[in-house]
Parts: sequence; C-alpha cells; structure tokens
Amino acid sequence: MICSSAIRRRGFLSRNFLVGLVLFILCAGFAIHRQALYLANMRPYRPYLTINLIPGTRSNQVIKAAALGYDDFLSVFLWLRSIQDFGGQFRDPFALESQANAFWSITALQPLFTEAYDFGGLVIGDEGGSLNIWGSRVRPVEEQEQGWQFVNSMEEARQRADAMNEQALALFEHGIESDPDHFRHAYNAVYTSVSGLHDPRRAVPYAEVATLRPDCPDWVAGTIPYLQGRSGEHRIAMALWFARLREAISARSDLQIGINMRKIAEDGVNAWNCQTLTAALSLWSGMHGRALPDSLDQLVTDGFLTFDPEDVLASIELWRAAHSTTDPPPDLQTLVVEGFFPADPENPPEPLAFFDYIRFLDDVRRLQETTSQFETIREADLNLEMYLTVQGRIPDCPLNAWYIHSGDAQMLERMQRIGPFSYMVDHRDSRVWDTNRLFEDTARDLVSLRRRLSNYHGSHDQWPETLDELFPEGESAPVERGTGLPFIYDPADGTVHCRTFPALNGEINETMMGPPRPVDEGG
Amino acid sequence: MDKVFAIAQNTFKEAIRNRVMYVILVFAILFILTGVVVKDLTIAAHGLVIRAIGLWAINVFGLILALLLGIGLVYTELDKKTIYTIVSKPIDRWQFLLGKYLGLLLTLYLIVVVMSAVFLVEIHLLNRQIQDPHFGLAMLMSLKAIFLGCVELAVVVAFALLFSSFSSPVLSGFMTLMVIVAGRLNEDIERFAQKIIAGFEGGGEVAKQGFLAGMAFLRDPATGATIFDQIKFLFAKGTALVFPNFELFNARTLALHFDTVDVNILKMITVSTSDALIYAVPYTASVLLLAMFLFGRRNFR
Repeated sequence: MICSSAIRRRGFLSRNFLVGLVLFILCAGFAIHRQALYLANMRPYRPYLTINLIPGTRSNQVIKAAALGYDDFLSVFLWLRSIQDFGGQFRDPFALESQANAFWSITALQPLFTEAYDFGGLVIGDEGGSLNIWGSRVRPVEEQEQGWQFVNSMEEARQRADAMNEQALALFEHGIESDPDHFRHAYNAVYTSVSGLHDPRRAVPYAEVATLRPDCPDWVAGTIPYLQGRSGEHRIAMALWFARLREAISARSDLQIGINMRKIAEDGVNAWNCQTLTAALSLWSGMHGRALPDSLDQLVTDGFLTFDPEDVLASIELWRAAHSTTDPPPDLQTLVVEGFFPADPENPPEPLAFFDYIRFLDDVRRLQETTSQFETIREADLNLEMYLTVQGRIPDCPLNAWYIHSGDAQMLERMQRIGPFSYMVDHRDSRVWDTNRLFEDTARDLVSLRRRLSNYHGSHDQWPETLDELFPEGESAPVERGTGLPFIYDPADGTVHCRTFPALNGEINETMMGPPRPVDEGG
Repeated sequence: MDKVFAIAQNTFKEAIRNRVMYVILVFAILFILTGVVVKDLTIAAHGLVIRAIGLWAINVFGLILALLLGIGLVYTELDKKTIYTIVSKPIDRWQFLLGKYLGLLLTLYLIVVVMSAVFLVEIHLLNRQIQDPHFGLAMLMSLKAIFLGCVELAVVVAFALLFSSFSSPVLSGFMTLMVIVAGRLNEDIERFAQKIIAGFEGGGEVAKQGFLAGMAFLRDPATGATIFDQIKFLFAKGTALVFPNFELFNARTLALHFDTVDVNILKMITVSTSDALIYAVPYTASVLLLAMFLFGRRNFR
C-alpha cells in the first residue's frame, strides 16, 4: 500500500508519464533493435581488419582506435607529413627505413588511399630498396665518420635494400587486398619483385592477380610469359606466348603477331638456350675448377651440352628431304626413332621441347598462308629460324654463343669487341658478363682480401684458418665473381689465388683494377 | 508546440550572442581555408586532401560547439535562476527541454551551413587549378557527409542535454565526451564482445548471434567460461548495443575516395542516408525522453 501510494504521489501513474514511458520504450527498443541489426551485419570491410597483413600491426591498431573515426583525416595528415619527410631526407636510406612505418600507418588507417600505395612503393621500394643508395653508405668500420650512419659492407647494403623491397611488397599486398579495383598495386609488386628483388618467379602471381583486375590493360598479360621465362619456366613461357600468338592470328592483329613472334624468338628461344648454356657452363666450371672452357665447343665435346638446337632444324630438313615432303615430322619421337636426331627418346634433354613449338609454328605458318589476307606478314616474320641464319653470325664465335641474346645488338657488339672469352654465369639473374669487367672486379676483391690478411697477421701473428675469419660475424668472404667458387687460400702462408684469372695471382697494380665506378655496378 | 518554438527561438537568440561560438567558428573557417596552402604540399590526390581537411574541420568544430553549448544549456538557466520564472509559467518541463534542444540544434546547423558554404566555395575555386574530372560528384558526396555529420550532431546534443539535465557542466561535458568516444569505437567494442565468445570452443558461430545467445553460451558450464568472461561480454555487448554507433554517420570515406574505389566497396562501408535517419531519429527521441523524464523529476530548490 505504502509503495503504491508512493508511486502515485511521485506521478508515476500520471498520463504524461505513461505516454512518455511507452514512447521511450518504443523509441529506445526500435533504436537498439536497429543497432543490433547493424552490429549483426557489421560491415566486413572495416578497414583495420586487414592490418594483420602487414608488420607492426599492434601500433597500427592503436592508431586506428585513437583516430576515433577520423581515419581519413589522420591518414591525409600522415600522407602530407611523409611527402615532406621524403623531400627533406631525400636519398637518405636510413630515413627511408622509417618512412615505411608511415605508409603502413597511412594505409592501415585508410586502406582505400590508393595514392599512398603508389607513392609508398616509390619511397620504400624504388628509393629505399635501391642498392645504389645503400651502396653510397658503405664504409669499412675504421673509416666511418662520427655522426653519420653507414653500413659496413656491400653485403649488408644488399640485405637492407632487399628488406626495404620486402616491405614495399608487403605494402602492395595490402593494397591488392584492400583495393580490388586497380591493377596497379599488383603490377607495382611485379615491378618491385623483378627490379628490386631480382626475383621474377615471385612476380608471376602478382602479374596474374593484376590481370584479374577490371582496369587491367591487355599488355599486362603479355608480361606473364616474360616473367615465366625469366624465372626459368621456359616451357610455360613458350606455351603462353604461342597462345597469345594464336589469339593475335585469330584477331588478325598485325602488330600483336609481330610482337609475339619477336618475343618467342628473343625472350623464348634465346632465353631458354641461354639458360641451358649457362647451366652447362656452370656445371663445367664446377667440375673442372676453372671458370671457363677454352671454347663453348668444349661443352659439347665434354658432354655438357648434348644437344644443339640448330641440329633439330637441320634434322627436320633432313627428314623432309628423306620423305620428299615439305611437311614437318608429326612429332619428335618420329625424328628420334628414325635416327634423324641423336637423343634418348625416353629422356630428351630440355631444349628438345622447342621442337614441338617449332613444328606448331610451322603449322601456323601454313595456316597463315592458306587463310590469312595479311599482306604485311612476311615469311621471315613467321619464321623462327631467322635467328639461326648465317647472316650476322660472328666469325669465329664459339658454337652456340649466337644463341645468347641474338636479338640484342649491344650484346653482339660486345661479343665482337671482347672475343670468345665473354660469357660468364651470374647466378643471381643469369646476366652475361664481360670478361674485362670481371677481371677488374676480381682484382679489387683480391687486393681487399690480401690487405685484410696482412692486417690479421699483423695483429694475431698468424694466418687465419679460413678467409671468413677476416670478416665480422654473419658475413662471409667474397667468392670468385661469376663462378661463385671460393678463392684458393693457403692458411700455411696466407696466400690467396683465383682460378679464373691466373694473371691476378701475382702482383696486382692499379691498372688491373680499372677505373673507379659507382659502388653498385660491381654487382 | 508554439511554446516549444518560442523557447527554441529564445535559445537560438541567446546562443548566437555567445562570443565563444564566433571564436570557434573563425578557427574552423581558418582551418578549412588551410586547404588552399596544404594542397601545394601534396604531390597527388589534391582534391582528396582539401576535402579531408574541410570535412574534418566541419565535423570536429561542430562537435566541439555541440559539447560546449549543450552542456551548459540547462545549467545556465539554473545558475541565473531564470529557470524559476520559466517553470512558474504555464509551460511543461518537457516543452522547455525540447525547445532548448531544437534551439541549440538550429544554432549548430546554422554554423555548419556557414562552414559548409566556405568549404564548398573553397573547393569550387580550387578546382579551377586542380581540374578534378569528378568535381560535381565530389560536391554531392561532400554534402552527404556533411548531412550525416548533422545527424550525428543531433544525437550528441541530445546526450549533452540529457547529462546537463541532472549534472554539472564539467560532468556533463565529460560524460558526453565519453559517449562520443564509445560511439566512435562502437564497432570495435562489438568486435571485442565477439572475440570473447569466439575464444571458446564452438564460439565462432555463436559470436555473431547476438546478446542473448552469447550470454546463454557463456553460462553453459560446458564452455568453461568464468564469471569474469560473462561480465566482460555483458559489459562489452551492452555498451555496443546501448551507445550510439557514430560510424553509421560517417560518410567521409565515401566523399574522399568515391572516385578511385569501386562503388560496391564504398556501399559496404557507408550506410545509406535513410538507414542512418531511421536509426538516429528514434535513438535521439529516446535520449530526449529520458532527459525529459529526469528533468521532470528534478527538484529546483
């Protein structure tokens, strides 16, 4: 009774109160119901969910929470700050390292900030991942000035540059995930993988992702076979190029046919041959303890190259002549079984795969002759054999040397200039090196090693057991350029020799080391 | 309603005499105009930078004013003892409070209109240099962001009024600020609640099922959840449900990135204006009803 009278006295039963209460329950109930609906279907694209993809996640989550919904403004603020910082600290690699954090934060705050991925990739990858910039900070410990930041060796510079490129890739991956409309994040990742990390194999999936984006131009798909070829997947590369060639023929695209033909010849056949040849050279040098054979013929003589691609075409011609036909043989097996080509039918060497492509191309040519109305297509354009013609072949050039970059005029000139001793294997990116440069770099390495040995002997009164002892922990002694073999070191008397250039085993003078050059060019 | 409008009109007149408001307005306009200079500091996304600064300034300064003016709305009347003359007249307390609310909202919207006009003129003039091909759409999207910001202001002012109806200005300001913070982190708090459930075996599915299902799951001894887990969930989920979700009124990302990002993605991160209104109107009404109830019970002696 007391309770009910108190309720009445306080007006809880008044009309106004009851109306208000009902209204409140309705409004609050509806609002909370709507709220529950929103939360149940909470937007999956809440940006910071993707932060877990990138390093340093915890700090980004804190920034995200601290932004209190002003993510866009904060990301723009950091963006402006990064631009100014980049301008102010231009080409300082240590400052660029810290810039990586800024771009993670910007894109964590607002993953749709597409410009931040582009510019971040430029800052972190192109600039921060440049060996040229890091190389400019290489100083031996004893020469490092106070107040400046340096790296101790070229190897450390390379590691730091690679680390920056890795960070740029992480940024691009964040962009790929957050912004599925644009191909450029994936394509930037391709660029960084190839030019920064020298890892075309890694670039392939990025290129494939780029082609799936709605704004991807057609030419991006054309880079995939190129990347496959650079990765050593020549069979896949050739298949892709031929598929594109077929499309070009179907579409009757004069331009695309020309482009794909050239790609097949230069980046397909030649690159494959180049790889085969360099692999054989590497194997040969490893087994003989010398960098190079006297000539490339020796590779064939010693059995390192069991097959010369030129022989396939010659065999085809022989087969055609024997069968009085202009048609190619139906398949490789026929050629081998009938004795026109010396190979194990069960286990043909890799370059024999060319044969099927060549035959296919032969069919394409016939197809062209019978169905196409293209007047601009010349026989030579569709003939892969053009790279085997005698015309332009370098006199006295060793067997197969022609297959290395036969489409590269600059390389041809170089080959003519420096003669047969001109091919070395660079294990990192399969480049072809010139001997003069290699000689000079090796001379520099040897001088440096001998100086370190002398210092070591001066302080320890004995020679080190291995050359690695001359270097700080985590670093190893340089190896012979090109072959990758270790220098010959005798711990009994502290002498160090190289296999490749016997002339360097004596006194090395300034002339032998060549002119000074930017640090990164030495590779 | 005449009484309500009379009080609203009076509140508006009173508010526009407040010099602090003009100082803040000048700051806001100066901040918006920094876009003229700042655009030269960026190497790309010029339009985006200008819009980001302008929209941020309009929203933040609007909220600051809502906070400053809202928390003193009732207290000033009490402090000056003018409340006694008002309550002695034939006017209900709820009418007084609603009038105050509408008057303040009108003032704030007028300020937002001024700031928006400066902002739109600025981006219009700067577009002569930038030559943004999507300029027209940028204006429209910016207007949408500003409108949803106004809806957010309505909710914030309601809370300021609620707290000022029973507490001192400092406490009201602090509590309103906390509501803003909780509202901005609403979805994060919800995720925290979901994470508590998902941390237990079989909780992955239940995490998305709502408050009652979550509590039932945690109370099941088989899950091994402690009382602290239940309290944490209760607190987090309750906060997420009861406090306003201010992210629903955030269309700034849409206004900034509409030209580079697919419209479907933007739809995923931006609630439609009608949905935002359907949520905001009853929510604000319930907060105001609560304020009216508390104010109605208040003893002015």
